[in-house]
Amino acid sequence: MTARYTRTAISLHWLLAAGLIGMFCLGLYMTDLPFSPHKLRVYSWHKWAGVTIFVLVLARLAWRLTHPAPALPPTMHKGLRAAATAAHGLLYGLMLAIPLSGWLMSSALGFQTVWFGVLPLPDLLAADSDLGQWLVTVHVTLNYLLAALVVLHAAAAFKHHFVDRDDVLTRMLPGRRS
Amino acid sequence: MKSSLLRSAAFAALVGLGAMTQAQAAEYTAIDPAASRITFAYKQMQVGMNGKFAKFDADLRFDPAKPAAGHANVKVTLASIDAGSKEATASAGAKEWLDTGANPLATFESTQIKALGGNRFEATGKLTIKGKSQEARSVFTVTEQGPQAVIEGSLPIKRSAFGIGTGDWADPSIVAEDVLIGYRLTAVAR
Repeated sequence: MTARYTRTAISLHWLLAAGLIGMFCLGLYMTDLPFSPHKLRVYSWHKWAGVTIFVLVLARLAWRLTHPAPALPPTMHKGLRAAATAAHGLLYGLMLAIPLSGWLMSSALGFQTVWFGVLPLPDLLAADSDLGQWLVTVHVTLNYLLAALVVLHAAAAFKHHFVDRDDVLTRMLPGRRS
Repeated sequence: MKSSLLRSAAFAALVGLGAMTQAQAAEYTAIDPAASRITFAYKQMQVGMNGKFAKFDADLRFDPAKPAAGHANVKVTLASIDAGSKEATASAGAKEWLDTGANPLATFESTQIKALGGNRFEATGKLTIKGKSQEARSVFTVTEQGPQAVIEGSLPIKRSAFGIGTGDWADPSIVAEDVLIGYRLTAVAR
């Protein structure tokens, strides 16, 4: 009887997966838009969703720290075990850094973030055009890094399922029993 | 002697009072644009934005002690706008926004100035933007500093009254209707 992830961990995992993939696509789409009311609307949705995702990431992290993940299969190679730990650590790191970089970038470009148009978030940086442009590069770079890591993450899960034939993938699927 | 001391004191007081009255009777007839600013605040998607105009001037004739006789005529070069963001500034001169090609100047011409008490006043006048004129009211304060006075006030407008932002941009849920124009003018007596 192998351990599974908790229902909370599973829910947060897939909620964040959907959210992050959606946000990545939205980000790619919106930066090429011509200046228009539609563009302003979409940018705002992206920022509101970004703040929401950041809160969910904090919840996911808090849950993970208080509810350890099931152990990796004992059959796993030591090197791959280390790689898995590093990759997951990097995933958490990027999930925190990306929304933060977005928030800072927005402030530096002179746009405060008002969550859902009602809750203003403080500007931690004053408007500074050069800093703002640098943070755009940071935000974009981190996002491409996360995208690559997510592809690796999914590929590894498929490898575990179809090649190693262990329960690493299934224990993160909702509703299944190992 | 006591009475001559009293007389000297009285004389000094009168001269002082006269000097004060003299300073307060200053009529301001121009502004120093380099020491003045005209700004505006608006909201897009509930996010507060701030803009300003770099080029403007004013003819005025204003004595805070006689506000009813006062008159002000402010001219703003709209193409000097900084709308708070690169994209907004680049679009601000377009036909759907300020149409600066056809209407390069916005003007405020006062018709009445009255005292509100203390150093507060209210100017009523004709505000013309993008070829459209509306009656507008502005409350301002006057703080005299030697030969100059700082005139600071605000003028709220509804952008749709002037056709600022038409077509898709007319939607008030994207760019809000209310725009608050602010000004801080250094007035000089010439």
